[in-house]
Amino acid sequence: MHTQREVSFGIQNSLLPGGGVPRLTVKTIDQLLDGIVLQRSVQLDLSSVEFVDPYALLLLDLAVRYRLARQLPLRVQWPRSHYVCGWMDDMGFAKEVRSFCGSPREPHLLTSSALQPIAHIGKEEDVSRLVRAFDLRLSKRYPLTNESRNALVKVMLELFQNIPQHSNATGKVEDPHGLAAMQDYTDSIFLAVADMGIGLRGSLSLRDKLARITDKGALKKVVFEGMSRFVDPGHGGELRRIARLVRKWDGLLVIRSGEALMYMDVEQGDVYDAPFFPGVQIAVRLPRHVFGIEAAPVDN
Amino acid sequence: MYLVLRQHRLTIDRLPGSMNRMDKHTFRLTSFGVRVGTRLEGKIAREKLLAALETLSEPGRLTISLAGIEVLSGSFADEAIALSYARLITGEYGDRYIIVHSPVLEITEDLSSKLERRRMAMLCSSNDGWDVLGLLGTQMKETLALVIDRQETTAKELASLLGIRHNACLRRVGRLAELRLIRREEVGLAGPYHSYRFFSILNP
Repeated sequence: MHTQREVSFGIQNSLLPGGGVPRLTVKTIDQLLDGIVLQRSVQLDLSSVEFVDPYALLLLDLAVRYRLARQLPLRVQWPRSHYVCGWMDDMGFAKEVRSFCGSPREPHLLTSSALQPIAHIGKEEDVSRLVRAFDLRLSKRYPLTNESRNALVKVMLELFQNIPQHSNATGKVEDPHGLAAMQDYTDSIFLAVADMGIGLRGSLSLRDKLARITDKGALKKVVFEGMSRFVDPGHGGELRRIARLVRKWDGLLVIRSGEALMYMDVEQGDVYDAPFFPGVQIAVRLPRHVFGIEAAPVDN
Repeated sequence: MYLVLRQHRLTIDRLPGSMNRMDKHTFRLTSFGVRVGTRLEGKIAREKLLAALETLSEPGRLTISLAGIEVLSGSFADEAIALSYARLITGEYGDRYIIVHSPVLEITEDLSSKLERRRMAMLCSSNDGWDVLGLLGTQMKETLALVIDRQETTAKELASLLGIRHNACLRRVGRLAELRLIRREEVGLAGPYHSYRFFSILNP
């Protein structure tokens, strides 16, 4: 049962890998989601956060919208770190959530390294233009080889168009809130794509004989078997191809949908239980050497 | 409307020549961009591609040129090319054929994967020669290679070259013709049976 009491959630150092600096990443954001989704009144304490990746940023954005849609109060305590606050602001997060949970108290003065702010993916007609904009941002920052640019463009084209094509296939979601963002790090390029639509289970369950499929089952069918909600064999297989590509490039791929999360990096690749969140959220992290950018020492 | 028609005309180049007495056109995919794209864009391309196919006299061959294309997404490739080809092999477009021309084969990877999922195969010419995109067994590919090599042949000749029985060879070339990878022309009767000649649909 929900309680009326405001519940405070924050990143707990003790739960973080290595127990170091509080970071909101693909590995830690799920600590917050459970509380944000289930509790009636929440104070989201991000004050000690010193790093946020684009995947966590998009999930935070959607979590705020999730609560707003249910008229559940949420207060946000913004990061004390000026740099993190500035980055979140430059990535468009403050603008995204301002009307729901306020802005950071002081405008940031530091110049952050934000690469591609949060962009909304709505109609399929807009997808190619959006992909071009992402590509342009990256290529302005780095002298990329055509080969690497094109590979990333292909990944973006498929991931972005999935949102208008699948996230509201039942027509029952008022707005699936498709989002994408991108950030570069000293060792990698990080692309995040997320929505709050019907999810992979909701999509696959439209097929005969799959009405009772689980989140984990749906995730496995989509990523490992290349299945889609269409019986037509020409549809589907895109996420499977992206997974192969990411593995070939020694990258990281995280796909989250409902109560399931697939985590695949150089060393491992499996599907795990996760706290419920609607829709599909994807992180693609590719080493910079894939893009012909000389790698600097890892600092994140 | 004027602009659309004008663009459409620009995508098709009538090529001289009469190889296999075929009417030959080239459909340039770059008229839709160099990095394509979404299913929606693929659907628009398919409509134009099939319209271009219909303008060919029979027998005719439409070459989809990927020259200049930098990205061909699986979704676009399926919607524009694989679905067009699926209609072609139903016989809806009569004695007409489609091939792909790509200077480099890497661009065609996702198209090949989509064709494979649909259990179809397409001929692709490249700077290095030709290849089959999609799904085609080794024996079928061997037979296809012989037809392409000889440009024009009969089942009897092929059976002899392949060292297989005539009936087995007829099944192979029949299937290749169904897949629109070669052209089959009836040349008369041999006793109670139809007699055919088989033609490559590629240039020599």
